[in-house]
Amino acid sequence: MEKGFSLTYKVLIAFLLILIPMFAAIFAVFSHARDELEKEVFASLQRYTDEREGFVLLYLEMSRARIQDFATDDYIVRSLDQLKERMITGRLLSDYIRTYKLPLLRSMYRLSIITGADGRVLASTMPWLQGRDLSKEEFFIRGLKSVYIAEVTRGLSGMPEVSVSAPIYSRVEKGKVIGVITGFVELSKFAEFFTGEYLRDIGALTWTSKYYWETMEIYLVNRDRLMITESRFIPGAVLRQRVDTVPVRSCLEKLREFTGIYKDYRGVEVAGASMCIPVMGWTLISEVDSEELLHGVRELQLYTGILTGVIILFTGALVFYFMRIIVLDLRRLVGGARAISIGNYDIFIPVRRKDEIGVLSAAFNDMAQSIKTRTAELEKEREGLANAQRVAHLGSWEWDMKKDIVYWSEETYRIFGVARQEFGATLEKYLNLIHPDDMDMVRDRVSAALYQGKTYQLEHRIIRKDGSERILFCEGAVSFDAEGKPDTMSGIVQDITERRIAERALEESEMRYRTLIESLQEGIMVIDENNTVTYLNPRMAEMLGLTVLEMMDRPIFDFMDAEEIERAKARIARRRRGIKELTDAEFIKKNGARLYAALAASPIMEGGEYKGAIAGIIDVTERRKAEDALKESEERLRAILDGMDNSVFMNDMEGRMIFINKAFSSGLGKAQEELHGKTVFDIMPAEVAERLHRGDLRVIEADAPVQTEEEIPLPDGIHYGLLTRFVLKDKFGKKYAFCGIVTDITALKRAEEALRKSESSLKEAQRIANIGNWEWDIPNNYVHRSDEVYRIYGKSKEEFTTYEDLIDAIHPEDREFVRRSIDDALKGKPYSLDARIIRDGEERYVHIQGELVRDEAGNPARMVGIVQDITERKRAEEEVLKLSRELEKRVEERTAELKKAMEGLAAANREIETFTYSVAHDLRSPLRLIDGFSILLLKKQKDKLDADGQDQLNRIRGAARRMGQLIDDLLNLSYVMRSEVSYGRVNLSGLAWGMITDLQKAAPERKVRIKIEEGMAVRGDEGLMRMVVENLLGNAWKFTSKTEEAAIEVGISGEEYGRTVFCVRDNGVGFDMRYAERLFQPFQRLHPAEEFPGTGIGLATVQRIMQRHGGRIWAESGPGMGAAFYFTLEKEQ
Amino acid sequence: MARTILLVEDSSEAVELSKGAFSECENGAELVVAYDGEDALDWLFGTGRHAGRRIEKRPDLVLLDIRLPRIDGFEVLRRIRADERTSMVPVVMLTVSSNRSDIAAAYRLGANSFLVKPVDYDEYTELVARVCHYWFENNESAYR
Repeated sequence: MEKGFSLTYKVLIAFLLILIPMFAAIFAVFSHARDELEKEVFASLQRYTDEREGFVLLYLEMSRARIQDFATDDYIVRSLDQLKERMITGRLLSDYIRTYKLPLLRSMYRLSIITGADGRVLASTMPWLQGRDLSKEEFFIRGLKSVYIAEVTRGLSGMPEVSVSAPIYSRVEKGKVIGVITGFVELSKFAEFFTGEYLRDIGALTWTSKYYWETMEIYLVNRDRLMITESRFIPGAVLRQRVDTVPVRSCLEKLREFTGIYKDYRGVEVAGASMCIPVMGWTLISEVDSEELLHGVRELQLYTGILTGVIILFTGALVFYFMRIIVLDLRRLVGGARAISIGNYDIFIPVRRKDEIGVLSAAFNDMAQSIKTRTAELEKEREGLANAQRVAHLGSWEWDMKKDIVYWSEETYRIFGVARQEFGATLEKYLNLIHPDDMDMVRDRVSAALYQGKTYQLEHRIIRKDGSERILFCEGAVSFDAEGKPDTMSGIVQDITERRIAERALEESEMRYRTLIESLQEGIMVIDENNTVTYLNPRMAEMLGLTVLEMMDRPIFDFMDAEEIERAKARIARRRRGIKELTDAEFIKKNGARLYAALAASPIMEGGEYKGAIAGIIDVTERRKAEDALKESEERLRAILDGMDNSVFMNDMEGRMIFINKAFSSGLGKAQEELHGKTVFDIMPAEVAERLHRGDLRVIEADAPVQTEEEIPLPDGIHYGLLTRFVLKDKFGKKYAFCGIVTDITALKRAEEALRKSESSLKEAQRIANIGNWEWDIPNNYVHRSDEVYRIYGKSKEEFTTYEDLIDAIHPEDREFVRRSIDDALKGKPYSLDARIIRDGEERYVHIQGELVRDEAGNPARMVGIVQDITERKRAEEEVLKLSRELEKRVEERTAELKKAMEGLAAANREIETFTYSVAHDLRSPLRLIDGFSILLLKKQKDKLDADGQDQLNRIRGAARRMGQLIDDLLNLSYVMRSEVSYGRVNLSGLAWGMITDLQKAAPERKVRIKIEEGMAVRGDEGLMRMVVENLLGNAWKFTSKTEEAAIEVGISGEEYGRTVFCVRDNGVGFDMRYAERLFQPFQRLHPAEEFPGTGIGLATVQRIMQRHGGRIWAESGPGMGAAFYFTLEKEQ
Repeated sequence: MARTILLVEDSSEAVELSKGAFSECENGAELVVAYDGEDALDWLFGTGRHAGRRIEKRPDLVLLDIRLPRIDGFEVLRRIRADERTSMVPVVMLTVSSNRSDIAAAYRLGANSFLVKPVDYDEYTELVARVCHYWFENNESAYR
């Protein structure tokens, strides 16, 4: 890792990252401040200029007012009106104006009166002007007409001046100008406004805003772009200095005032503001050298720069400082870490600060300290190990084969019973200590281990110097050098003499117990925590018909069936909880037989941990078999009794229940156990219990079965039972209990009752419906009939028993047919027939139905059926039949009449057709002739006819044409009434546009605003619809002909009874709603024909068309309000 | 060459007016008048009153009214169309009737056109002028 550099580098980048936004912020603040400052400066400049412009304008206005005032001066006017002697009057006037008027003006240094007639100066404050001819001067010429104010670039003084002149009007002659009064102001005076001198003159004490800035200058420029007030910088600039700068150009060329930075007439960059005075063509300019003006901005720039520098230096220094201290401390830490790595744990780094570096240093010191402590502990542990070896009689050794040096631990020496000093530890010396009998074995094993490079373990004996014999356990392993040759062998040696002695004792004791256990008559078995059999005695194996070996190391579950495995698992679970118990168990023998066993088991726990269980097992199979047999027999008996519907109980002689079956307990809604030992008084209301108890006593006394019928209240209601009770005796004939069996007969009782009820209601129903039922026992020819049957036939039971009796009761005419039907029924075809009977001499109707029932052999056994008295119904039916026949006849008559009428109508229609045809043909022809000959007459006899005659002929023609039109319309109407309506889709919008186009073509001069809704389509006859549209739009067109801005609209206005309401609306003359009804009658007209020509048939035709389409038409209007025609049609998509 | 028109019309006044109207035709037209259906057929086929007429000289146009004495216009039309010699002569129905069944019947029988005489004489004159123009200037005849 590149150290030092990367940290510095990162900090440097962070430093730069902080500086960039800081600079951006400083720059933003700076530029904002600069803009504000500039804005402020320009506003001030504008304000100054504005102020000065005000002065100039006010002054000019004042001068104008003053001169006007002078022009109406009484003395001056009178003098001019009565002018005779020019010289004298001139002098007097001169004196007058010099004395009285000039002082009013202060700055007007000249004032003259010029006579109107010749333009000569009459009077003047400048005497040398008197008599001078000024008739050519502009100020005189303009002054004659009205007050005039203007700049005179080179005035009489040779300097720029402003002249103000006003006409003097005569009082003698109204409206006559008798002279002009003129005043002159030197333009340089205006500079006084700028310097404030003028204000001080007229009374201001001070003038603070003379020049706010050092280089500020205010001056006027005229329309020739010449300076007309003095320059502060160039002497004698008036009328000489040309000022062609931006503000001047802006004023003169665009009449726009200007504010900004530019080069002034000296070529110096200035900030300036200008005001235009268009009356005079002047530009008033205020300027300040931008150098001075933007001084503030420059300063701001400087300060910002300095601030930025300081920030960079300060942050840089700060960064450098932190870098230095952090890096120094880090270096110190690195040095410390190196020292530790070479094992110098006594290093200590001074902790000088409390910051993170300080904490790090402290932590480092702690670490060094703790490493030191650990090292010390390690040393101690080593000592501990030696002690442990001693305690465990376990020594370690190492044999360097190359040098043949054996290194022994302290304990090893102790085990061998030699002192370190007297034992030059070599392999040979070690071997000398070994018991001679074990010597060869040891040599072989060690050699083998060396040869194979394996670890060896062995036990051998040694004989110590003092002659005692010890048993040692040795373990050794070989390690190899780089060439793979064994070079070192190391291992441990343990003195196990004491342990071996103890083990031998244990073995002996175990042998004794084993002999005991193996001779036991009980089976003993041990399982481990995995339920594997780890021990069993021969008796155990014998019980299961197996050998010990066959059972050893097998899961205990191998000797059980599935059910027992579950139980065994539960038992083992209890063992795991440390529970001992005596319980039953089952095993499966080798031959498949079952071993029933009593089991005494207890867990084997080691250190609170389950390590298996031990159990003693006794064979109880024989005992168990006997018990099972008894239990089974008892259960069988109980199952039988529980399976019975009858309630069974057995009471002892005191009446306590000792046995009850399921039916008994469930009848009472109780559990069997609950009822054990109870008496009848515990389970029945006192009254019932008392009665039953008395019965019990009688049974015991009678000593014979007794049957009674009992009414017993149970939770689900009263039950009826047949109770049989009898006494039980033991083999000695002693009564020890009595028994009862109850048969529930409630359902039977109820059914009996229901049957009785149903029979009675059937009888009632039959009586009401006049229906009887019967059943004919065919083999015995006996007919069983319900009561109603006898009533229907009006016979008694005695005289009406057989099939023949029935046939006798039938009307003689129907007998054959009834017999036939019954014969058919006997063959299997059910019958249903109406027949007449004679009852008490009266003829009545019955409906009989019957059906054959066969016996098992398929032979006819019975016939069952019903009979109903339908006399009333039959009579009603007959009545209906009679009535409908009559009706039919009437309908036929009417139809014939109608047919005749229709024929007549058709004939009439044909006649009408012929008639209209004739009308068309026969009326039109003469009309044509009338018109034709009238024209010929008009053409040929023109010179013989006077104007009256011609006019009358024209009237004849007009009448003929109207009649022709009338006939056409009538034909249309007749056509509409006769023709077949052939329905189809009709584009109403299209028809309307077509019609409008035609109308417009015929009268192109008319301007009508048309609005027709798009996509209107209806179901109707195209030809008829065309007529509708032509008539309605034609009317609208016609009746708007006298309306200005005529407008016609066609559209949908709503819906009525599923039909669409269309509307044609105009803003024409309209009509009075009182006549709305007459509108649709033929020949009815609401407007005189001279005004609006027409036949009065169009709307009648439209109405008929609507009728033919199943629609209607109506109109809404008012005189002068336009008209709207609504009509309804079926809309077509 | 002046064209020949066979005008079948029962009213002499009407004929007089028609003559006036046809005199206005562009290139002139020779108007042959038949006052009833029989007369018209005789003229066409050189029979009856017109026996011996050279029937090769067919009319360039037949103007036929419907209501005619003796044989009506429809029958005349039927016979014109039935006879090979005249079956392709243009026949224009010229009548006061605008009855739709008449119009249909005429076309069924092979009329080339159906015109209703306007009541206004000026309009009639105009119509006649258009008829002449159409049939003699625009239309191509089968017999030329």
